[in-house]
Amino acid sequence: MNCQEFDQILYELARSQAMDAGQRELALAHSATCQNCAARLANARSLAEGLTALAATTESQSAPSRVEETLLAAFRQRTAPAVLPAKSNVVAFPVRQSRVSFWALAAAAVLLIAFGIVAVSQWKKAPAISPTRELATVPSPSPKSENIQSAEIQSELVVATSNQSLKPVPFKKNINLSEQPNDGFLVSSSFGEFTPLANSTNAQQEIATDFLPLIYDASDQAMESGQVIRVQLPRTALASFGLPYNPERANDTVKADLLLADDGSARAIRFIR
Amino acid sequence: MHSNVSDDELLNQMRTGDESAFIALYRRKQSLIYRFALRMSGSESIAEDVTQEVFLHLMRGSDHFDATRGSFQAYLFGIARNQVLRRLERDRTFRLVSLDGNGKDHEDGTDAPLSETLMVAGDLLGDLTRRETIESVRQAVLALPAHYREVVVLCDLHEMSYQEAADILDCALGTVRSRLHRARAILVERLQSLKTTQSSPAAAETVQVLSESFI
Repeated sequence: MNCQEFDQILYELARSQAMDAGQRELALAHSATCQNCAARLANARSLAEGLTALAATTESQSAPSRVEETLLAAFRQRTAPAVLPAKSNVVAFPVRQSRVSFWALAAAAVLLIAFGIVAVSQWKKAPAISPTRELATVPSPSPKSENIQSAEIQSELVVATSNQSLKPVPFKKNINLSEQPNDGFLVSSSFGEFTPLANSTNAQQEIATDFLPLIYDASDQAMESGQVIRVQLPRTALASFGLPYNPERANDTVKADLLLADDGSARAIRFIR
Repeated sequence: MHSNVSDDELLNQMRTGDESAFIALYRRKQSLIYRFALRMSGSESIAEDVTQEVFLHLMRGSDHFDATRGSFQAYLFGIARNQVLRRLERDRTFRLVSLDGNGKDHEDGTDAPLSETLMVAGDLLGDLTRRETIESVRQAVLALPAHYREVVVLCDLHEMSYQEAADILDCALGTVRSRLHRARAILVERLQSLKTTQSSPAAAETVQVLSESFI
């Protein structure tokens, strides 16, 4: 056996591990004749003894009991059924879900308050105009009559709602008053922005359609009073009410009168030419 | 009650929420895991944390154990090993200590020629008391690079076979053998160096500093 071969089995020899008896004899014989390998064997034996002693000092050590207690508590928590004891009257919600619900409710409350403030302020800013007076200033709805009375407008609306099958008007819910100055209105809707008109000086030359209802159940809510406001809106709005329009003039605007109920809701519209 | 039940069977029972099975499994394996972590880190605090983490991991993800890939014990040791290495990396408390002063380690796992001092050395620890011997070996083991330290801990301190260590370390048996051979050579070299140092006037102070750095 040479030194290299001796080195391969050095630690097995030092630890007195099971090995081939013949190889063991050869290794010991080599160490008897080689001073370096004898020194290496002695060192290896010292190391083996040291490692054995070190292992013995920690052999009896184990984790403190508090680790088992902690783990047991964790295990019970994981395996416990997700229900509360029968005596409890508290409804259990996961913490995360509870927090989400809280913030959702808070956001809803804030939105509700903000909406209420805006609605009240709009209501207070609205001019207290007599329906009769307002309707008296409405321009002529038809070429036959240049001056129209409120009764005529109402009767037209009633006729329209009683004799015609009303079709849903998809824009009803989207019509909102955003501003109500004394000399005009600015109304936004899904089909564009209404541009208020300050006055109607050229009423004599106007041709108007009948009032077209904007709500489903107009027959159940016949108006006793209201306001008519003059607005401008894109010509594409004509198509929304089934009226013909020239696509080449889609960017132009068209005048219209919007009939508002006392609560501010738009009830009907007529287009002016 | 569970003394005759296999680890795998206890694990299955534990998965169904059997508390007694979990306790039995813990008591059967905790000391092995604790000692492994202690020998790897030299810290009881880390050993305690690692033991707890290993069984919490088992609690959370025991479904990951695949009996076809190795024994349950090897699986636990594998988790413990990862936890220890992570803690050592994080804490940086147990930086490598070069006892021979040059700080050179052959971390590639290849065998390097032993130094001349080894050739003429006699009894490495002959002049030391038993307590000093244990402390010196402990320090030398803790000063090993982690990939050498773990094979020494598994094969020399836990007396596992090369194959068992290879399963735990998820490496080839030959890798375990070569790393162990190299690790032992480094230990002999360092202990020899320590012995030489202790014979000098500054020896006592050095030992004290080293001891404090690992406690």
